[in-house]
Amino acid sequence: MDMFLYYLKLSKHNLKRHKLFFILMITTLAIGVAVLLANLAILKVMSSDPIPEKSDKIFSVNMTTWPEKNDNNSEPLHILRYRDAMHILKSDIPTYSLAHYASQVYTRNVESKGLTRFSAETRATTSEFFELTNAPFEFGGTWTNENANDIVIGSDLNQKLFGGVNSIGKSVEIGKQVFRVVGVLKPWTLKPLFYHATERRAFNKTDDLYAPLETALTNNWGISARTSSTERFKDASDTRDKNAFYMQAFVQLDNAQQKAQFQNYLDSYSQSLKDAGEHPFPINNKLYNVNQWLDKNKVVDQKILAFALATVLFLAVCIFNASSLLLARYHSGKFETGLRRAVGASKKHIFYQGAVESLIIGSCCAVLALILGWIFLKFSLTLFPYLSDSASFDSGLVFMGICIAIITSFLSSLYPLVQASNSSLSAQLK
Amino acid sequence: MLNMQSISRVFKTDTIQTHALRDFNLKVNSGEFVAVTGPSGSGKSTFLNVAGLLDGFDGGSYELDGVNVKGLKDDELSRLRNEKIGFIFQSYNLIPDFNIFDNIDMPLRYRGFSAKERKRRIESALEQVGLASRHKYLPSQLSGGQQQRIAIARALAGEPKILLADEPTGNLDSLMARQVMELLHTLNDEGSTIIMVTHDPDQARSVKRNVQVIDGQITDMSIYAPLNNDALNTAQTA
Repeated sequence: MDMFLYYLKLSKHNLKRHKLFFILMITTLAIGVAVLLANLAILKVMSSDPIPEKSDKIFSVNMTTWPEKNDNNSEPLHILRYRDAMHILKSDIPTYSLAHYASQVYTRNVESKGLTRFSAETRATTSEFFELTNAPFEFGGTWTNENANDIVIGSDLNQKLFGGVNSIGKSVEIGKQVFRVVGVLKPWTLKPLFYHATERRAFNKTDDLYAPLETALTNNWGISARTSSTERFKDASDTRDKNAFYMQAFVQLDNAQQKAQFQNYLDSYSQSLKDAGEHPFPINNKLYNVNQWLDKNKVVDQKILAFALATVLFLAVCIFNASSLLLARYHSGKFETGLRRAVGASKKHIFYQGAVESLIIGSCCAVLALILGWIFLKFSLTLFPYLSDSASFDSGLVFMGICIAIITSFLSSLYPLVQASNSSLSAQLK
Repeated sequence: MLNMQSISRVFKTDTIQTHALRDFNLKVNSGEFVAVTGPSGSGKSTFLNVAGLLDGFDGGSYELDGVNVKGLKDDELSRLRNEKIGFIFQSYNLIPDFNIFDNIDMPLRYRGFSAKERKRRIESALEQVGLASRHKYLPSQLSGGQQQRIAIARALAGEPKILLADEPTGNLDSLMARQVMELLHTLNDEGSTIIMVTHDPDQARSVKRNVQVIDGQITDMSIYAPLNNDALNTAQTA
């Protein structure tokens, strides 16, 4: 302990003695660490598990039911027809299941004196959506009738329409219909938005309004998502018996047996369609769990991955620069090292002294890197505005930043330290 | 105290081999004051570096205070340097931005003494060299002679078995040099063993035993006549 305190005293003395040098070195390392941290903060959000408690139990359903064979369309589709989706919902094998499509409506509080209508990103879905996605309710709950004019609204929309109060039972005008609020969600962030990770929507906000699928179709709420069809259709309600593919389905399967049974259920269905001549493809239905689904959709931006590699290389360059700076300093400080060795310091003493110094440099570097990293992150988020409300320095990243700073500081001093502790003694002293 | 038998030290480059020490034999007893002289390049400094464990040797054997140093690891050599040897350099080798106390404290830190013991030893060493009141000064605030006395205090603080002095007065004017030599003689009278490399014949004559090194070997042990007969007798019997 005495020696550690002595090393601290010497390091403090050295830092004061070579202030400018250490500022340069700390800044060099801190910039490298900061750029890496900012990038990691973005990568962390992009690659995070949105629902870790059951991401391995929720599956996106992909099916081969497309009726026409083209050149290269044998892969199963994540977009389904109404009747395919209904077949999935009909099964009692999954613990929960949902079908949905994205829409957009304009909403108005019926009791409002004004005529302002608020645009609402809408999810036409089924009642188990909330249990499957663990959506948090502030007031009320999901609907019980898939054909009722009942809606669940998000926290933001509740704020806009009703000032954030408990609005259960209140009426909302959508189009020319009146809908009853049966549930209000708490502020809810789900990143990536696994239930709609396609079409580059993985980092969209959760929806403003949720309505029963049947009600949405009956009211012809438009489809704001990828739609593929082999037949013409007039409007949303017309898609129920057409080959219009636009719905997505997710199921919760809690164990391998359930999954096998459900896979079999899907395959039997596809086979029956094939037997009836409704599609020409080999049976190839797939179930992707949440993380597989996010991977398949390349949710992590490839440019970000490339940039991450570049930041690691940049950090390596910073370490080399800091190392050569330190090497120069150890050369200029050979006299003191030689003297210490002559009066009894072993190579280990010299090495430990340098290691303590690099610990202090690493700590200073960590503080500066966190400040610079935060600034770089804010700047980077201007390029990724959809991540601006979720990419930040959490405690894990701060801890990681401190560790990286200390490790890089130690790495940069390693070679100069070995050189210093192995330098010839007799050459330095006269 | 110090016993070197057939020591050799060879420096090699790609094209040249230099025998800095060859068949070098020297025995120094406890309490002796030995002056080592010789022309430039004769091997004096190499001898001092080997004796001080600052440099290794290629052949022969070397015992310091009964410890055979051949084959010792760095940790063991460092401990020996710290415990048994006190160095006095020509250029004093004080760390310029450490005060006197911290300069003398340095070797004691590596010995692991308590703060109280270190303070006692530093004060005692400063007392011995007559600079007890200067412990807060920086080296640059002292004269050359005073700086050398501080360097001697640093060497003494560890209570070493032997003091190795490499031209200790080489950077001093004659008055300062005389003061430093008087201090070394006093220390020797009090029982310290001292080996001093010097170019100054007067200083060599002033000590009890002389050793001359030429071409890496001891050639004539009485080249400089000691100033008194007792010292001459001691040198001849050695």
